[in-house]
Amino acid sequence: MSTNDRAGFVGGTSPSFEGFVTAASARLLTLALLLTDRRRAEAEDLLQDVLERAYRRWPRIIRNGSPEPYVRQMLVNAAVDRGRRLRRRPEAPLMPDTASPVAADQVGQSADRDLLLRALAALPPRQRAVLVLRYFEDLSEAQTAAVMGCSTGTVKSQASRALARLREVAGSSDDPETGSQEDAVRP
Amino acid sequence: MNDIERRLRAAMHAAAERWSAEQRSAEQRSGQQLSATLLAGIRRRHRRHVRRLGAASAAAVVAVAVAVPALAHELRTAPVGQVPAGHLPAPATSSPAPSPTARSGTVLRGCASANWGQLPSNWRSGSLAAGPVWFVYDRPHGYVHDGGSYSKPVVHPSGSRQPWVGVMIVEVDFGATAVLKVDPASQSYFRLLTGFDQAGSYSLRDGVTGLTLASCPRGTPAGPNGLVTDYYLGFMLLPGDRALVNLWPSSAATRPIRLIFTCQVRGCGT
Repeated sequence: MSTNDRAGFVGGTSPSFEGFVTAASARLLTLALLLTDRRRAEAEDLLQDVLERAYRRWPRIIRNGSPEPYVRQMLVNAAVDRGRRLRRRPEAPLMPDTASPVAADQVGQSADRDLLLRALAALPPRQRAVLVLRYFEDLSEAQTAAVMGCSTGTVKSQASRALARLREVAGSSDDPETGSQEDAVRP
Repeated sequence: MNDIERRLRAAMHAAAERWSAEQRSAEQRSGQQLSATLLAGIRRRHRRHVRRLGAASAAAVVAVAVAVPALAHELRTAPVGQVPAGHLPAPATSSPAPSPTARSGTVLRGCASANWGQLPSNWRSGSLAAGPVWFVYDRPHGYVHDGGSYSKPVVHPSGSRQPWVGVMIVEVDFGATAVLKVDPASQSYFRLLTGFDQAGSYSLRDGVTGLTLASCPRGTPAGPNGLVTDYYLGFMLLPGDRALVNLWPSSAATRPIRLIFTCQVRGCGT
């Protein structure tokens, strides 16, 4: 390790950056995992990339207030960009993989969650990001639009399409005429 | 919230809890926190970034072959008592104003908007000094920059040819305020940029042709590169063209140092 490393983060001029990474890394990594198809190596790579860029702009970022929303926005944008680049990769099968240890060991709810997460991962990157921000980060439509850099209407339409796709794959009792979620059609 | 939304939310939160538990378990096994692993990775990336910039910024500044004669000209024509800036490691400058202001027609980069990147410890030996301003480059790479990786589609004022975006790392001695302005003769085809990551975003506003670099005041604790303030800047130039930039090394300077920016064929564009 170099002298710089021992002295603190690169040059030691922004000690609060280390504090921020320490405090927020778990949350940001979870977000990255959801945005990157639950691939840990890819999520860590994405997060490191984003945090390194954030470090370069750190004085500006902290001058504008809390850094986490800004870094989260960078992370979402980076994930969407990366998702577009990787779009040509083969799609993962959406049916439950009975050979997978998770699916084999767990039934019912776990299998349903696994299927939903895989369906989420198969969505186009912007739709996936909208759902993660809305239902994991619990952002409002307006807040999601701000993070995504688009209009509220776009957020609504993207979320609607994405949820429709999830319903197709995982089934749902969303039809108001049908019963509760427990009655939902499950694969 | 309807059924699919509830199920999706539950699925994501359950996954997050599971990952969190796995992470804690992994940390216990390895004895290393996630943040420590992340910070180590970020350090590696940042060093790589700085090294790349060091190489790329070389000529970002100037083809020294061109700049040296210009400075030599200054040396010959400087009035008695005025020492050419390129030979002054710590120029005498007036004390900075408490709140630095941008000179007319320029954008201000002050102490608060510095980048503070980490350069190699011997960065001065490979840099061109002009008064309190150090244009950082990597001598082994010559005096041209690799504009390819930063060659974003940018609108250039002079026509359809695709301009290259040059990388320019500048260090300014503490206590100094220097002004860089594009010479009127070059303003139709050359732009200074306030950064180099995204040329389009960082280009100067219409009517603004320069930068006021107000370094941190004397007495500021040394940064990663010593008693200098670090700025990541850039410029936009068509390949093969040259542009003239005037540098006033202090607010008291009446005569500018004239720098020639260029982008040579070697190393540019790919």
